[in-house]
Amino acid sequence: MELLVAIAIGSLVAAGVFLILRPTGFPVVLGLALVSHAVNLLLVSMGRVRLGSPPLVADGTTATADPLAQALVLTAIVISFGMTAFLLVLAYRGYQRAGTESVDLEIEHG
Amino acid sequence: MADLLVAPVLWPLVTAIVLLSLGGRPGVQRLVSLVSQACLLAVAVALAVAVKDGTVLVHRLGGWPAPFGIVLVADRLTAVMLLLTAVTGLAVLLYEAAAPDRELERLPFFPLFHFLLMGLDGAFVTGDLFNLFVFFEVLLIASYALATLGASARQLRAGLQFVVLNLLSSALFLFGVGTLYGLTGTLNLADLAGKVEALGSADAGLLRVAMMSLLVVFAAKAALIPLAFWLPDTYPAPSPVVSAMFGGIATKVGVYALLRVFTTVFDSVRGPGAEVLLVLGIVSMLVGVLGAVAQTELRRLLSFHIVSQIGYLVFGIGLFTIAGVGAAIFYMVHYTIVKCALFLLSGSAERLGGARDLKQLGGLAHQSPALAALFFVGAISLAGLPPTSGFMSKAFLASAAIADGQWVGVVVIFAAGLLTLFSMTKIWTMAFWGEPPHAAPQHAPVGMLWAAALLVSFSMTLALAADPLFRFTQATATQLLDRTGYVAAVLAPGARP
Repeated sequence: MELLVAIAIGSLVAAGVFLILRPTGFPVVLGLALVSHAVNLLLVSMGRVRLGSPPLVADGTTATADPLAQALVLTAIVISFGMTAFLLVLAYRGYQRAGTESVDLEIEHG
Repeated sequence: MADLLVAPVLWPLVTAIVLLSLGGRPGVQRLVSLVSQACLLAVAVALAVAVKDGTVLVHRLGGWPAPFGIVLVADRLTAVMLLLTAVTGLAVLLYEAAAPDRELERLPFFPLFHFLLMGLDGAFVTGDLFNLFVFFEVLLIASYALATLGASARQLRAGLQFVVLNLLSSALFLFGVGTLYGLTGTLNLADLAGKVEALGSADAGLLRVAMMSLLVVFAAKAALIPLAFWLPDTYPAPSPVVSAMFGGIATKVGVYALLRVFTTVFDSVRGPGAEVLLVLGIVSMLVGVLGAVAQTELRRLLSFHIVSQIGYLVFGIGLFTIAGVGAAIFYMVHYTIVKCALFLLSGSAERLGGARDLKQLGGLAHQSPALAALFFVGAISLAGLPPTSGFMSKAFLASAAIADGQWVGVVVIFAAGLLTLFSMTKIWTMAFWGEPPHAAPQHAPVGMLWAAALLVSFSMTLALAADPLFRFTQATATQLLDRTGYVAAVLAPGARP
């Protein structure tokens, strides 16, 4: 199980980094989304990977998951959702203004 | 007294919400902003007085004791940062009130400005690593919006780069935080301090991974070479008031976080990190100033200087001696004030001369002697000529480096200072001397100089009052490097109300 999660995180980061290195806007946004998914998985698994254990303590429960890690992930998901939305708007406005999707920065100074 | 600690976070938030409801009435917005910021300055002064003797104020939210609850903590360093934020914020708002930028005020500038302040102050008072991340995001989303306010093509292109880089470093931040949480099971800074020290050698590798990821994150936020190239594109693009706020205080959050986390959490294991910081500091000092020398756009030139000056700060921190960290904090106080003043003055210069580029400016000394005089004082202070506060800061930093045997650092401190002087001379001869290129000089409100005059005179007071400030920054460094007081205060069993 741990190995599976580790491989998933690794592949997500690899794919994300590959996309971020693309020269156009939309793949970069997708790449960032993939990297933030990887981070979220990492955060959950840092509360230890356990199957079938809810983060609640009731009478007779023996195994519980770490609730803090899940709370952290919830916050991280909300933040990365908001940021991605903002980034999409920004990329779209940039595309409208400049007429190109390229993220290369060629600002005419002065 | 400790309950006052919620004010720096809540007060700007409330102000921002009130300001949102006042959209379209810039006069009222300006007034509310100024009053709110003056109150925030009063709070910062009250907190500074309370922690001056070395007390560590701890506010436990909801009364839950650390490490289970969330804590807000103020020690001397926090007080210094809150004061600097309040002073620069007030100066920027005064400037905006004296010379309103109508274009900017049609947009939600004031609410965003206070959201930015909330994020900054929150990052300074929090005692929890995850909340540090959250407040970083608060201040970042506000600064993304401020940086692209107006949405010119240039702002959008630079903004995209700024946002992508910061999102990536936020992801790395979470990697570091997650790894630390997996290792220790806590995120409270004071609790982490003890747990990290107690880790066995089996976890040393993972711990170093976490430490280095956080170092990279903070270096990117503080704009250290090689992670600084977003800054000279992003900072000069928006309105001068936004540049002044960014250049004055926003990059310092990265430096603050570096200082806080490396003295509290990684106190026992920071050796390799400290070496990296020294090298990055030295490289940034040089590369930043060399970049500045090549520029001809006023605010872009000043933005390159930010990179160089951040290098000075990080070099001082990297020494991790009382003299080094103390000198870095002294430098931070001096430089935040001077940088903010220079950005505000360059805003006035741009308005007066009607151009952003040095090649199209000229004869400003003739048009406005007051502006020239203020810029002159600010410029020699940035370059570090006596008798300014910049000279004092560089002298303290150099003597700390000599005491530690960092000769390369000493040489670079003076070499970069000389190059700074060179680039300031360039601004001076191109923009202030000579004949104005425009036939009819534009008129700018005189009031806009007052805010910068306030900052410049504050900087001169720093030079005159160097001795008490020096002793205070040394005391701050002592408190930081001996974390026992901080840890004990945070982890003390607080009674639930």
